[in-house]
Amino acid sequence: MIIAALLGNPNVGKTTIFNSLTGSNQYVGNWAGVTVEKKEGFIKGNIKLVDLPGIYAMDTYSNEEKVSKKFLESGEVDVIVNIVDASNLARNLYLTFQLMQFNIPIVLVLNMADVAKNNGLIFDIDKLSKLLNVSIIEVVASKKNGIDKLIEILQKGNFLKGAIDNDYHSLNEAEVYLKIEGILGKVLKKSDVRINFITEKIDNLVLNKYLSYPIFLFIIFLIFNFTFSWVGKPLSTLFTYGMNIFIFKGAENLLKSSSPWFSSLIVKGMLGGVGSVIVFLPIILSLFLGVSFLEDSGYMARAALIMDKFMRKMGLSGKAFIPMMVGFGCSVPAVMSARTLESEKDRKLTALLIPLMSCNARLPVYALFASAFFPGYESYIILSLYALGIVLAFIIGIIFKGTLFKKQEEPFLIELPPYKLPGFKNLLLHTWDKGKGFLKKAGTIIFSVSVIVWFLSNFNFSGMTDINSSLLASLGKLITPFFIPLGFGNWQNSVSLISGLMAKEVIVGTMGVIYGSNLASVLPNFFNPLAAYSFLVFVLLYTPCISLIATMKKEYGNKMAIFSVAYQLVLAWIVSFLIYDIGTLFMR
Amino acid sequence: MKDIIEIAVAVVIIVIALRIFIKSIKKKGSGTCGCSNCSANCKGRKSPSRGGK
Repeated sequence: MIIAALLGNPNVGKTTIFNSLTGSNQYVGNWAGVTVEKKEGFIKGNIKLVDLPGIYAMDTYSNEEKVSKKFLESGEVDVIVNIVDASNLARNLYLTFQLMQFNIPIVLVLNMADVAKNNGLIFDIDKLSKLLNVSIIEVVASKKNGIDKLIEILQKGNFLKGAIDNDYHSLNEAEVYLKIEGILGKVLKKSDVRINFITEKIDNLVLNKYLSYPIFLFIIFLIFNFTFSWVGKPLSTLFTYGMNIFIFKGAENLLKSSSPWFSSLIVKGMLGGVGSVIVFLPIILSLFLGVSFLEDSGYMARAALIMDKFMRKMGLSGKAFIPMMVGFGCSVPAVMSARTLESEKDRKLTALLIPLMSCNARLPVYALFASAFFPGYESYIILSLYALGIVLAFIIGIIFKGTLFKKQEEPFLIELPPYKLPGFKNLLLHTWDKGKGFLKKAGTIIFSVSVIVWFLSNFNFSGMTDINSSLLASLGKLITPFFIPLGFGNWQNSVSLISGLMAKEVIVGTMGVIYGSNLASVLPNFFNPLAAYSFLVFVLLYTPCISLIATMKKEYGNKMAIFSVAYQLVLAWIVSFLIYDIGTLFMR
Repeated sequence: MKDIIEIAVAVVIIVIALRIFIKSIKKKGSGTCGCSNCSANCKGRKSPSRGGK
């Protein structure tokens, strides 16, 4: 078996090429740091392809660079597939020169060949191949041009083994760059270099000292309105209506002659639990579509740059903003992507703050309560929760920086990829990629918890009973006093919050089973608007789901996982208490 | 007869739910949420900062 390592600078399209070569569906994005672990796939002809995190050089110290270096030094690699950005060869070849030192054959893949040509850069590939003594191929990964040829080269296996004149071993950084310039001077056939004026003009606007923040907030506001007012919410209402007519009413009619308990299991337990969560699918897909657009367009890297100033106040660099942005999707990959940060303290501090970024699992809870208690103001209520999470992360970051994580600030370098209009197909694929996780959860964990909750809410040790004397009620009543000062102290809400530890969407599923499927009209009997907001704040801030606790444990050990759970529980209780009690004072 | 069928169906549903629940707990306990970013290859692997590769 041939083992091929896919290596290159960040954001040159390694994962796109990996997906094309192996038929995988790994996540890709138009920003640096998407891949933080090596991923494996297979190509026909007994070739194992390993996708490694993007790196600029082999002599730096971030974890993803260590992952790549260790793998190359392991002696397992038969060929390096070095992906370079053809429109930025001078910088990309620096890594190629360092890779030659491993004495492993290299196939140099000039990706984004179309962009290079558009920028007026045309190279003599044969000459470059002879000068470097490596096989070279031009590809356009996004259009799958040249991928077949690359597979053919890998299958044939007669690779060239690095430069003949390899005196660069003793060269320093400046000398290597001089050598690269010399080589490029010989192979550049046409150099009518055209600067990407569109990117420059957009950057002048979105990175402007005074306009950058208003533009950033405006973009976020647009995405929220798209999700909660213009597209997501109306579609969700339509979806709910369809579900009520066809699924719930249909099931009730079908089960008319069944025993009441059996009908309750199917309608309230299964359909009520899963259905009350799944109606939020259009809202979640709308938000994902907006986020995918930002990622694919290249704005995400700019957002990191804009946020650098704020991140520094927390003792972090703008690079930590990327994991935090990932945290708005799901906290688990976000905590893992904190590995891209150079220092251990940065990684730990970022991992502790990530759960305060509101992940999409909380969205069904927000959408349900916002539409039940604040109709017409859903976008503002949900935006306020996201903002509260960010503000608290900022405050907690400053506190931790001054106490637990005292350290020197580190420089922040980020590559700003050129803007591009995201392809419609890619956007849909990315949206679906994120959305299918939600559907999977609905069919697995939400379904199973709903059935278990139904069982516990209909039985006690003496058999079938009414809900108030059920096992679930007994369990809920034990912890209810904890929530009374927060305004939502009844056993139904308490058990919903406990079940939310599995995954936050389960809160809605559990409520669907306990209160019935028409939650928006039932909930106002159990909450006033202030208590509802206090509940939402608690959901935003309290202990993350068990997946995240396990990831914390795996990445940073038991102490960090326990600390993360404890500090969030305390923070959630204090903030919800303040909101409810101060709010009550004003409402008197 | 109808009662027996109902009980049998209910038992099957509850057993399936329990199996999915236990499987999910095990999977989540290994630190993956099922999304494409965290499901591939990283299951059970320590982070570089904790001595993993």
